[in-house]
Amino acid sequence: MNKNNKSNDMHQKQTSCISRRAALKTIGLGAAVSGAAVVHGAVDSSPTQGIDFSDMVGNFFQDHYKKMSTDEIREALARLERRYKVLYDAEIKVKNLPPLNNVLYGYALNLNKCKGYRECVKACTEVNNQSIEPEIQYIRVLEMDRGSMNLEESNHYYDDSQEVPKDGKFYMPVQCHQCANPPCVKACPTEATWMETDGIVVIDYNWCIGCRMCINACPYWARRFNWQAPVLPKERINTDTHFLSNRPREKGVTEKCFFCLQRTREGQMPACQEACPTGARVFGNLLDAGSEIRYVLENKDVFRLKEDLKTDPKFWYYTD
Amino acid sequence: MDFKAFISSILLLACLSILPLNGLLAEEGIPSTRSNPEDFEAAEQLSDPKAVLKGVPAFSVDDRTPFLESLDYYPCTDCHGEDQPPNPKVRTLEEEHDTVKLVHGAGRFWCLTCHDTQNRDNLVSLKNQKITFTDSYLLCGQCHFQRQKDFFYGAHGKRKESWRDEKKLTNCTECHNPHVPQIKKRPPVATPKVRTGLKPMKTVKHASEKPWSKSH
Repeated sequence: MNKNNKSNDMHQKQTSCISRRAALKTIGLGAAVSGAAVVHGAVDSSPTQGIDFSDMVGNFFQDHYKKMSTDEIREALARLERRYKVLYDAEIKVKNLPPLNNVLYGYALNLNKCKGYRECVKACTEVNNQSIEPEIQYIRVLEMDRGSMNLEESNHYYDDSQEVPKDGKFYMPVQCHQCANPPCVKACPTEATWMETDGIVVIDYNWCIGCRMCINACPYWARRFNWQAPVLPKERINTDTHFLSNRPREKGVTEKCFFCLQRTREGQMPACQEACPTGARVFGNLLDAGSEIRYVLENKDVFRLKEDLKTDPKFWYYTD
Repeated sequence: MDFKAFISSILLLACLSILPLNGLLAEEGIPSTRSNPEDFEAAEQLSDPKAVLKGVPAFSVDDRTPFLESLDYYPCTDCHGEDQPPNPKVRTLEEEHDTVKLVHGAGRFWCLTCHDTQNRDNLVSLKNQKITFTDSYLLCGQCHFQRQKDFFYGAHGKRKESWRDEKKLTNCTECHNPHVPQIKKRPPVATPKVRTGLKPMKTVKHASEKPWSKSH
Protein backbone atom coordinates (compact mmCIF):
# COMPACT_ATOMS: atom_id res chain seq x y z
CA MET A 1 0.00 0.00 0.00
CA ASN A 2 2.67 2.38 1.05
CA LYS A 3 4.74 1.53 -1.90
CA ASN A 4 1.79 2.14 -4.18
CA ASN A 5 1.14 5.49 -2.54
CA LYS A 6 4.73 6.39 -2.79
CA SER A 7 4.79 5.50 -6.43
CA ASN A 8 1.61 7.44 -6.95
CA ASP A 9 3.16 10.44 -5.25
CA MET A 10 6.26 10.07 -7.32
CA HIS A 11 4.13 9.92 -10.41
CA GLN A 12 2.32 13.08 -9.42
CA LYS A 13 5.57 14.85 -8.67
CA GLN A 14 6.93 13.84 -11.99
CA THR A 15 3.84 15.14 -13.73
CA SER A 16 4.07 18.54 -12.04
CA CYS A 17 7.80 18.68 -12.79
CA ILE A 18 7.11 18.02 -16.39
CA SER A 19 4.40 20.65 -16.55
CA ARG A 20 6.64 23.23 -14.84
CA ARG A 21 9.42 22.39 -17.23
CA ALA A 22 7.04 22.69 -20.12
CA ALA A 23 5.81 25.99 -18.84
CA LEU A 24 9.33 27.39 -18.52
CA LYS A 25 10.14 26.14 -21.98
CA THR A 26 7.15 27.95 -23.43
CA ILE A 27 8.04 31.19 -21.69
CA GLY A 28 11.63 30.98 -22.85
CA LEU A 29 10.57 30.32 -26.39
CA GLY A 30 8.12 33.18 -26.27
CA ALA A 31 10.82 35.53 -25.03
CA ALA A 32 13.13 34.43 -27.79
CA VAL A 33 10.42 34.98 -30.38
CA SER A 34 9.56 38.43 -29.10
CA GLY A 35 13.24 39.22 -28.82
CA ALA A 36 13.68 38.26 -32.44
CA ALA A 37 10.73 40.35 -33.41
CA VAL A 38 12.30 43.26 -31.55
CA VAL A 39 15.58 42.86 -33.31
CA HIS A 40 13.91 42.82 -36.70
CA GLY A 41 12.04 46.07 -36.00
CA ALA A 42 8.53 44.69 -36.22
CA VAL A 43 7.30 46.79 -33.29
CA ASP A 44 7.04 50.49 -34.03
CA SER A 45 9.35 52.66 -31.87
CA SER A 46 9.39 50.26 -28.98
CA PRO A 47 11.95 51.37 -26.42
CA THR A 48 14.10 48.37 -27.21
CA GLN A 49 13.74 48.43 -30.95
CA GLY A 50 16.85 47.80 -32.92
CA ILE A 51 19.41 48.23 -30.17
CA ASP A 52 21.67 45.64 -28.70
CA PHE A 53 21.71 44.38 -25.15
CA SER A 54 24.49 46.64 -23.88
CA ASP A 55 22.64 49.72 -25.10
CA MET A 56 19.49 48.42 -23.47
CA VAL A 57 21.31 48.08 -20.17
CA GLY A 58 22.88 51.50 -20.63
CA ASN A 59 19.52 53.10 -21.26
CA PHE A 60 17.97 51.36 -18.28
CA PHE A 61 20.64 52.64 -15.94
CA GLN A 62 20.94 56.10 -17.51
CA ASP A 63 20.75 58.69 -14.77
CA HIS A 64 19.17 62.14 -14.73
CA TYR A 65 21.03 64.57 -16.98
CA LYS A 66 22.12 66.74 -14.06
CA LYS A 67 23.58 63.74 -12.27
CA MET A 68 25.46 62.18 -15.15
CA SER A 69 29.20 62.60 -15.41
CA THR A 70 30.76 63.86 -18.63
CA ASP A 71 31.62 60.30 -19.69
CA GLU A 72 28.13 59.07 -18.97
CA ILE A 73 26.66 61.89 -21.01
CA ARG A 74 28.98 61.10 -23.87
CA GLU A 75 27.89 57.47 -23.78
CA ALA A 76 24.24 58.51 -23.61
CA LEU A 77 24.68 60.70 -26.69
CA ALA A 78 26.34 57.83 -28.55
CA ARG A 79 23.51 55.49 -27.61
CA LEU A 80 20.99 58.01 -28.86
CA GLU A 81 22.81 58.45 -32.14
CA ARG A 82 22.85 54.67 -32.68
CA ARG A 83 19.17 54.44 -31.87
CA TYR A 84 18.29 57.28 -34.24
CA LYS A 85 20.28 55.62 -36.98
CA VAL A 86 18.06 52.56 -36.68
CA LEU A 87 14.78 54.44 -36.18
CA TYR A 88 15.16 57.14 -38.83
CA ASP A 89 17.99 55.85 -41.01
CA ALA A 90 19.71 59.23 -40.69
CA GLU A 91 23.02 60.39 -39.23
CA ILE A 92 21.60 62.51 -36.45
CA LYS A 93 24.23 64.20 -34.30
CA VAL A 94 23.30 64.82 -30.69
CA LYS A 95 25.44 67.41 -28.97
CA ASN A 96 25.58 68.72 -25.44
CA LEU A 97 26.41 72.41 -25.42
CA PRO A 98 26.62 73.87 -21.93
CA PRO A 99 24.97 77.20 -21.12
CA LEU A 100 27.05 80.27 -21.97
CA ASN A 101 28.45 82.36 -19.14
CA ASN A 102 26.87 85.69 -18.26
CA VAL A 103 23.92 85.05 -20.53
CA LEU A 104 20.25 85.18 -19.63
CA TYR A 105 18.02 84.94 -22.68
CA GLY A 106 15.09 87.28 -23.11
CA TYR A 107 12.56 87.70 -25.87
CA ALA A 108 10.30 90.56 -26.89
CA LEU A 109 7.57 90.65 -29.49
CA ASN A 110 6.19 93.75 -31.20
CA LEU A 111 2.42 93.46 -31.44
CA ASN A 112 2.24 96.27 -33.99
CA LYS A 113 4.49 94.31 -36.30
CA CYS A 114 3.06 90.82 -35.95
CA LYS A 115 0.66 90.30 -38.83
CA GLY A 116 -0.23 86.70 -38.06
CA TYR A 117 1.67 85.11 -40.93
CA ARG A 118 2.65 82.09 -38.77
CA GLU A 119 6.09 81.99 -40.41
CA CYS A 120 7.54 81.55 -36.93
CA VAL A 121 5.41 78.45 -36.33
CA LYS A 122 6.53 76.92 -39.60
CA ALA A 123 10.23 77.63 -39.10
CA CYS A 124 10.13 76.20 -35.58
CA THR A 125 8.67 72.91 -36.80
CA GLU A 126 11.26 72.69 -39.57
CA VAL A 127 14.23 73.08 -37.27
CA ASN A 128 13.14 71.18 -34.20
CA ASN A 129 12.20 67.68 -35.41
CA GLN A 130 8.58 67.86 -34.36
CA SER A 131 5.96 65.28 -35.14
CA ILE A 132 3.74 66.08 -38.11
CA GLU A 133 1.09 63.52 -37.28
CA PRO A 134 -0.21 64.27 -34.70
CA GLU A 135 1.00 67.78 -35.46
CA ILE A 136 3.00 69.43 -32.72
CA GLN A 137 3.72 73.15 -32.89
CA TYR A 138 5.36 75.02 -30.04
CA ILE A 139 4.11 78.46 -31.03
CA ARG A 140 0.45 79.32 -30.93
CA VAL A 141 -0.56 82.52 -32.75
CA LEU A 142 -3.71 83.95 -31.21
CA GLU A 143 -5.97 86.17 -33.27
CA MET A 144 -7.38 88.66 -30.78
CA ASP A 145 -9.95 91.40 -31.08
CA ARG A 146 -8.53 94.88 -31.00
CA GLY A 147 -9.27 96.67 -27.79
CA SER A 148 -9.41 93.53 -25.70
CA MET A 149 -6.94 91.24 -24.03
CA ASN A 150 -9.25 88.25 -24.00
CA LEU A 151 -7.07 85.19 -24.49
CA GLU A 152 -9.94 82.75 -23.95
CA GLU A 153 -11.98 84.09 -26.84
CA SER A 154 -9.05 84.39 -29.19
CA ASN A 155 -8.91 82.32 -32.34
CA HIS A 156 -5.99 79.98 -32.70
CA TYR A 157 -7.22 78.26 -35.86
CA TYR A 158 -7.79 81.29 -38.09
CA ASP A 159 -8.17 80.29 -41.69
CA ASP A 160 -5.29 80.28 -44.12
CA SER A 161 -7.49 81.23 -47.07
CA GLN A 162 -8.08 84.76 -45.82
CA GLU A 163 -5.42 87.42 -45.88
CA VAL A 164 -3.90 88.67 -42.69
CA PRO A 165 -3.93 90.96 -40.79
CA LYS A 166 -7.71 91.05 -40.69
CA ASP A 167 -9.37 94.34 -39.85
CA GLY A 168 -10.10 94.78 -36.19
CA LYS A 169 -7.75 92.02 -35.08
CA PHE A 170 -4.26 91.82 -33.71
CA TYR A 171 -2.02 88.80 -33.51
CA MET A 172 -0.17 87.53 -30.50
CA PRO A 173 2.09 84.49 -30.71
CA VAL A 174 2.47 82.54 -27.49
CA GLN A 175 5.20 79.99 -26.78
CA CYS A 176 7.07 78.87 -23.71
CA HIS A 177 8.09 82.04 -21.90
CA GLN A 178 10.95 80.35 -20.00
CA CYS A 179 9.62 81.70 -16.73
CA ALA A 180 12.09 82.56 -13.99
CA ASN A 181 9.61 81.18 -11.46
CA PRO A 182 8.25 78.29 -13.50
CA PRO A 183 5.14 76.48 -12.25
CA CYS A 184 5.91 73.51 -14.55
CA VAL A 185 9.21 72.88 -12.76
CA LYS A 186 7.41 72.93 -9.45
CA ALA A 187 4.78 70.50 -10.71
CA CYS A 188 7.14 67.89 -12.13
CA PRO A 189 7.29 64.91 -9.74
CA THR A 190 10.56 63.56 -11.14
CA GLU A 191 12.46 66.83 -11.70
CA ALA A 192 12.66 65.98 -15.37
CA THR A 193 12.31 69.67 -16.17
CA TRP A 194 14.38 72.48 -14.69
CA MET A 195 15.69 75.93 -15.49
CA GLU A 196 19.27 76.11 -16.73
CA THR A 197 21.66 78.89 -15.75
CA ASP A 198 21.09 80.72 -19.02
CA GLY A 199 17.39 80.93 -18.24
CA ILE A 200 16.01 78.26 -20.53
CA VAL A 201 13.62 75.72 -18.96
CA VAL A 202 14.68 72.35 -20.36
CA ILE A 203 13.37 68.78 -20.26
CA ASP A 204 15.36 65.57 -19.98
CA TYR A 205 13.20 63.49 -22.34
CA ASN A 206 14.67 60.26 -20.99
CA TRP A 207 13.69 61.14 -17.44
CA CYS A 208 10.15 62.36 -18.22
CA ILE A 209 7.57 59.79 -17.15
CA GLY A 210 4.71 61.36 -19.10
CA CYS A 211 2.44 62.25 -16.18
CA ARG A 212 1.54 65.62 -17.76
CA MET A 213 1.42 67.55 -14.49
CA CYS A 214 3.59 70.22 -16.09
CA ILE A 215 1.13 70.70 -18.94
CA ASN A 216 -1.59 71.27 -16.41
CA ALA A 217 0.56 73.68 -14.44
CA CYS A 218 1.60 75.95 -17.30
CA PRO A 219 -0.67 79.03 -17.41
CA TYR A 220 0.34 79.76 -21.00
CA TRP A 221 -0.46 76.28 -22.34
CA ALA A 222 3.05 76.16 -23.74
CA ARG A 223 3.79 72.48 -23.31
CA ARG A 224 2.93 69.69 -25.74
CA PHE A 225 2.55 66.02 -25.06
CA ASN A 226 3.33 63.14 -27.41
CA TRP A 227 0.11 61.18 -27.11
CA GLN A 228 1.19 58.96 -29.94
CA ALA A 229 4.48 57.92 -31.45
CA PRO A 230 5.72 60.98 -33.33
CA VAL A 231 5.80 60.77 -37.10
CA LEU A 232 8.87 62.46 -38.50
CA PRO A 233 9.46 62.02 -42.23
CA LYS A 234 13.05 61.73 -43.37
CA GLU A 235 13.04 64.96 -45.39
CA ARG A 236 12.04 66.98 -42.34
CA ILE A 237 14.78 65.70 -40.06
CA ASN A 238 17.29 68.24 -38.79
CA THR A 239 20.41 66.26 -38.00
CA ASP A 240 22.00 68.97 -35.85
CA THR A 241 20.42 68.28 -32.46
CA HIS A 242 21.02 68.77 -28.75
CA PHE A 243 20.29 66.35 -25.92
CA LEU A 244 18.02 68.83 -24.15
CA SER A 245 16.34 70.40 -27.11
CA ASN A 246 15.53 69.26 -30.61
CA ARG A 247 16.60 65.63 -30.72
CA PRO A 248 13.69 63.44 -31.93
CA ARG A 249 11.39 62.62 -29.04
CA GLU A 250 9.35 59.50 -28.44
CA LYS A 251 5.81 58.69 -27.41
CA GLY A 252 4.94 59.61 -23.88
CA VAL A 253 7.17 62.62 -23.24
CA THR A 254 6.43 66.31 -22.97
CA GLU A 255 8.13 68.88 -25.13
CA LYS A 256 8.01 72.64 -25.57
CA CYS A 257 9.87 75.63 -26.92
CA PHE A 258 13.45 75.76 -25.68
CA PHE A 259 14.54 79.02 -27.35
CA CYS A 260 16.38 76.87 -29.95
CA LEU A 261 19.21 76.30 -27.53
CA GLN A 262 21.06 74.17 -30.06
CA ARG A 263 21.33 77.41 -32.09
CA THR A 264 21.36 80.15 -29.46
CA ARG A 265 24.10 78.57 -27.39
CA GLU A 266 26.24 78.85 -30.50
CA GLY A 267 25.32 82.50 -31.00
CA GLN A 268 22.62 82.08 -33.64
CA MET A 269 19.15 83.51 -33.47
CA PRO A 270 16.23 81.18 -32.72
CA ALA A 271 14.41 79.93 -35.81
CA CYS A 272 11.27 81.94 -35.08
CA GLN A 273 13.16 85.23 -34.90
CA GLU A 274 15.00 84.47 -38.09
CA ALA A 275 11.84 83.54 -39.95
CA CYS A 276 9.70 86.49 -38.96
CA PRO A 277 9.31 88.61 -42.11
CA THR A 278 8.28 91.77 -40.24
CA GLY A 279 11.03 91.80 -37.64
CA ALA A 280 8.51 91.65 -34.80
CA ARG A 281 10.75 89.45 -32.67
CA VAL A 282 13.64 90.71 -30.59
CA PHE A 283 15.92 88.17 -28.94
CA GLY A 284 19.04 88.68 -26.91
CA ASN A 285 20.96 88.60 -23.68
CA LEU A 286 19.23 90.37 -20.82
CA LEU A 287 22.55 90.76 -19.01
CA ASP A 288 24.09 92.75 -21.86
CA ALA A 289 23.20 96.38 -21.25
CA GLY A 290 23.70 97.25 -24.92
CA SER A 291 21.47 94.55 -26.37
CA GLU A 292 18.31 95.15 -28.34
CA ILE A 293 16.15 93.35 -25.79
CA ARG A 294 17.36 95.71 -23.07
CA TYR A 295 16.62 98.74 -25.22
CA VAL A 296 13.08 97.47 -25.80
CA LEU A 297 12.50 96.78 -22.12
CA GLU A 298 13.84 100.16 -21.10
CA ASN A 299 12.24 102.32 -23.77
CA LYS A 300 9.03 100.73 -24.94
CA ASP A 301 5.68 100.00 -23.31
CA VAL A 302 6.14 96.33 -22.44
CA PHE A 303 3.87 93.89 -20.68
CA ARG A 304 3.88 90.18 -19.89
CA LEU A 305 0.99 87.78 -19.99
CA LYS A 306 -0.73 86.78 -16.76
CA GLU A 307 1.59 88.93 -14.71
CA ASP A 308 -0.56 88.37 -11.61
CA LEU A 309 0.46 84.73 -11.45
CA LYS A 310 4.05 85.75 -10.62
CA THR A 311 5.59 83.26 -13.00
CA ASP A 312 8.14 85.95 -14.00
CA PRO A 313 8.26 85.07 -17.69
CA LYS A 314 11.13 86.11 -19.90
CA PHE A 315 8.93 86.94 -22.87
CA TRP A 316 7.61 90.47 -23.19
CA TYR A 317 5.16 92.01 -25.61
CA TYR A 318 5.52 95.60 -26.71
CA THR A 319 4.09 98.16 -29.07
CA ASP A 320 5.77 100.81 -31.16
CA MET B 1 9.24 169.38 -6.20
CA ASP B 2 8.02 167.11 -3.49
CA PHE B 3 10.40 165.16 -1.34
CA LYS B 4 8.33 162.10 -2.33
CA ALA B 5 8.72 162.70 -6.04
CA PHE B 6 12.46 163.23 -5.56
CA ILE B 7 12.91 159.93 -3.74
CA SER B 8 10.83 158.01 -6.31
CA SER B 9 12.85 159.43 -9.18
CA ILE B 10 16.09 158.43 -7.43
CA LEU B 11 14.71 154.92 -6.97
CA LEU B 12 13.64 154.79 -10.59
CA LEU B 13 17.11 155.73 -11.72
CA ALA B 14 18.57 153.02 -9.44
CA CYS B 15 16.26 150.42 -10.97
CA LEU B 16 17.11 151.50 -14.47
CA SER B 17 20.82 151.25 -13.77
CA ILE B 18 20.75 147.48 -13.33
CA LEU B 19 19.13 146.86 -16.71
CA PRO B 20 21.19 144.57 -18.93
CA LEU B 21 22.97 146.68 -21.41
CA ASN B 22 24.99 143.94 -23.15
CA GLY B 23 23.36 144.24 -26.48
CA LEU B 24 23.59 147.96 -26.38
CA LEU B 25 27.31 148.04 -25.89
CA ALA B 26 29.21 147.75 -29.13
CA GLU B 27 32.61 147.20 -27.51
CA GLU B 28 34.43 143.86 -27.90
CA GLY B 29 35.44 141.68 -24.96
CA ILE B 30 32.10 141.97 -23.23
CA PRO B 31 30.51 138.49 -23.14
CA SER B 32 27.33 138.04 -25.20
CA THR B 33 24.35 136.01 -24.02
CA ARG B 34 23.53 135.13 -27.64
CA SER B 35 24.47 131.47 -28.44
CA ASN B 36 26.95 130.33 -31.04
CA PRO B 37 25.47 127.93 -33.61
CA GLU B 38 28.77 126.10 -33.96
CA ASP B 39 28.48 124.85 -30.39
CA PHE B 40 25.47 122.70 -31.22
CA GLU B 41 25.83 119.04 -32.29
CA ALA B 42 23.02 119.35 -34.79
CA ALA B 43 25.22 121.67 -36.75
CA GLU B 44 27.45 118.69 -37.57
CA GLN B 45 24.70 117.22 -39.70
CA LEU B 46 25.11 120.16 -42.00
CA SER B 47 28.32 118.56 -43.16
CA ASP B 48 27.75 114.79 -42.98
CA PRO B 49 24.53 112.77 -42.90
CA LYS B 50 26.41 110.00 -41.04
CA ALA B 51 26.69 112.25 -37.99
CA VAL B 52 23.40 110.75 -36.84
CA LEU B 53 25.31 107.50 -36.19
CA LYS B 54 27.28 109.08 -33.36
CA GLY B 55 26.88 106.98 -30.24
CA VAL B 56 24.83 104.32 -32.01
CA PRO B 57 25.99 100.70 -31.51
CA ALA B 58 28.01 99.62 -34.54
CA PHE B 59 26.18 97.63 -37.19
CA SER B 60 26.35 96.77 -40.86
CA VAL B 61 23.76 96.40 -43.60
CA ASP B 62 24.00 94.37 -46.75
CA ASP B 63 25.65 96.09 -49.68
CA ARG B 64 22.99 97.05 -52.19
CA THR B 65 25.27 97.12 -55.20
CA PRO B 66 24.63 93.53 -56.32
CA PHE B 67 20.87 94.16 -56.32
CA LEU B 68 21.28 97.40 -58.26
CA GLU B 69 23.48 95.74 -60.83
CA SER B 70 20.79 93.18 -61.45
CA LEU B 71 18.39 95.93 -62.52
CA ASP B 72 17.95 96.82 -66.19
CA TYR B 73 18.20 100.55 -65.63
CA TYR B 74 21.36 100.59 -63.54
CA PRO B 75 23.74 102.49 -63.73
CA CYS B 76 21.36 105.39 -64.00
CA THR B 77 24.00 107.70 -65.36
CA ASP B 78 23.98 105.72 -68.60
CA CYS B 79 20.92 107.76 -69.52
CA HIS B 80 21.07 110.57 -67.02
CA GLY B 81 24.48 111.72 -68.16
CA GLU B 82 25.69 114.68 -70.08
CA ASP B 83 23.25 114.11 -72.94
CA GLN B 84 20.19 114.40 -70.73
CA PRO B 85 20.35 117.47 -68.51
CA PRO B 86 18.30 117.19 -65.31
CA ASN B 87 14.80 118.62 -65.34
CA PRO B 88 13.97 119.66 -61.77
CA LYS B 89 10.38 120.60 -62.59
CA VAL B 90 7.95 118.75 -60.33
CA ARG B 91 5.71 116.71 -62.62
CA THR B 92 4.25 113.27 -63.25
CA LEU B 93 6.67 111.29 -65.41
CA GLU B 94 5.16 110.18 -68.70
CA GLU B 95 7.90 108.98 -71.01
CA GLU B 96 10.08 106.79 -68.77
CA HIS B 97 9.70 105.46 -65.23
CA ASP B 98 5.97 106.04 -65.59
CA THR B 99 5.28 102.61 -64.07
CA VAL B 100 6.69 103.78 -60.74
CA LYS B 101 3.79 104.89 -58.59
CA LEU B 102 4.72 106.95 -55.59
CA VAL B 103 2.29 106.23 -52.74
CA HIS B 104 4.45 107.86 -50.12
CA GLY B 105 4.16 111.27 -48.56
CA ALA B 106 0.67 112.17 -49.78
CA GLY B 107 2.01 114.35 -52.56
CA ARG B 108 4.45 116.25 -50.38
CA PHE B 109 7.47 115.16 -52.38
CA TRP B 110 8.43 113.65 -55.70
CA CYS B 111 11.26 111.69 -57.32
CA LEU B 112 14.08 114.18 -57.01
CA THR B 113 13.45 114.73 -53.31
CA CYS B 114 15.29 111.47 -52.70
CA HIS B 115 17.08 110.76 -55.97
CA ASP B 116 20.09 112.99 -56.56
CA THR B 117 19.37 115.40 -59.40
CA GLN B 118 23.03 115.69 -60.32
CA ASN B 119 23.94 112.00 -60.11
CA ARG B 120 21.12 109.48 -60.33
CA ASP B 121 23.36 106.65 -59.11
CA ASN B 122 22.97 108.05 -55.62
CA LEU B 123 20.33 109.27 -53.28
CA VAL B 124 20.42 112.72 -51.79
CA SER B 125 19.59 114.19 -48.39
CA LEU B 126 17.43 117.20 -47.77
CA LYS B 127 20.62 119.15 -47.19
CA ASN B 128 21.87 118.15 -50.64
CA GLN B 129 24.42 115.61 -49.42
CA LYS B 130 25.17 112.35 -51.22
CA ILE B 131 23.73 109.17 -49.71
CA THR B 132 24.50 105.80 -51.31
CA PHE B 133 21.76 103.21 -51.86
CA THR B 134 23.42 101.04 -49.23
CA ASP B 135 23.06 103.83 -46.67
CA SER B 136 19.44 104.47 -47.59
CA TYR B 137 18.42 104.21 -43.93
CA LEU B 138 20.01 107.65 -43.47
CA LEU B 139 17.61 109.05 -46.02
CA CYS B 140 14.49 107.45 -44.56
CA GLY B 141 15.53 108.60 -41.12
CA GLN B 142 15.34 112.24 -42.09
CA CYS B 143 11.58 112.12 -41.74
CA HIS B 144 11.16 108.86 -39.85
CA PHE B 145 13.62 109.79 -37.15
CA GLN B 146 11.79 107.99 -34.33
CA ARG B 147 11.69 104.80 -36.36
CA GLN B 148 15.35 105.30 -37.18
CA LYS B 149 16.30 105.49 -33.53
CA ASP B 150 14.34 102.30 -32.88
CA PHE B 151 16.09 100.75 -35.88
CA PHE B 152 19.55 101.64 -34.55
CA TYR B 153 18.84 100.21 -31.13
CA GLY B 154 16.90 97.11 -32.15
CA ALA B 155 13.21 97.81 -31.61
CA HIS B 156 12.49 98.13 -35.33
CA GLY B 157 13.76 96.12 -38.25
CA LYS B 158 15.49 92.81 -37.73
CA ARG B 159 18.87 91.72 -36.48
CA LYS B 160 20.17 88.98 -38.71
CA GLU B 161 22.16 85.81 -38.06
CA SER B 162 23.49 86.27 -34.54
CA TRP B 163 22.38 87.84 -31.28
CA ARG B 164 25.95 88.39 -30.07
CA ASP B 165 28.40 88.43 -32.99
CA GLU B 166 28.73 91.16 -35.59
CA LYS B 167 25.49 93.14 -35.68
CA LYS B 168 23.83 92.89 -39.08
CA LEU B 169 20.57 94.69 -39.63
CA THR B 170 18.02 94.65 -42.38
CA ASN B 171 18.00 97.83 -44.42
CA CYS B 172 14.71 99.71 -44.69
CA THR B 173 14.22 98.72 -48.31
CA GLU B 174 14.53 95.00 -47.54
CA CYS B 175 10.98 95.14 -46.19
CA HIS B 176 9.55 98.44 -47.45
CA ASN B 177 9.30 99.36 -51.10
CA PRO B 178 10.36 103.04 -50.90
CA HIS B 179 7.80 104.05 -53.49
CA VAL B 180 4.92 102.10 -51.93
CA PRO B 181 6.07 101.44 -48.37
CA GLN B 182 2.82 100.04 -47.00
CA ILE B 183 3.08 96.35 -46.14
CA LYS B 184 0.55 94.35 -48.15
CA LYS B 185 -1.74 91.74 -46.67
CA ARG B 186 -1.07 88.10 -47.48
CA PRO B 187 -2.50 84.74 -46.51
CA PRO B 188 -0.88 83.06 -43.51
CA VAL B 189 0.88 79.71 -43.33
CA ALA B 190 -1.41 76.65 -43.08
CA THR B 191 -3.89 76.54 -40.21
CA PRO B 192 -2.72 74.28 -37.37
CA LYS B 193 -4.48 70.95 -37.11
CA VAL B 194 -6.74 70.42 -34.16
CA ARG B 195 -5.20 68.03 -31.68
CA THR B 196 -5.91 64.38 -32.24
CA GLY B 197 -9.27 63.36 -30.91
CA LEU B 198 -10.53 66.89 -30.31
CA LYS B 199 -12.86 69.14 -32.23
CA PRO B 200 -12.16 72.88 -32.56
CA MET B 201 -13.70 74.74 -29.67
CA LYS B 202 -16.57 77.05 -30.49
CA THR B 203 -15.83 80.56 -29.37
CA VAL B 204 -18.29 81.34 -26.58
CA LYS B 205 -19.05 85.00 -26.07
CA HIS B 206 -19.21 85.58 -22.36
CA ALA B 207 -21.22 88.49 -21.05
CA SER B 208 -18.26 89.92 -19.27
CA GLU B 209 -17.90 93.45 -17.98
CA LYS B 210 -14.22 93.78 -17.46
CA PRO B 211 -12.67 95.89 -20.22
CA TRP B 212 -9.96 93.40 -20.97
CA SER B 213 -12.43 90.58 -21.45
CA LYS B 214 -14.82 92.38 -23.75
CA SER B 215 -14.73 91.27 -27.36
CA HIS B 216 -16.17 93.38 -30.08
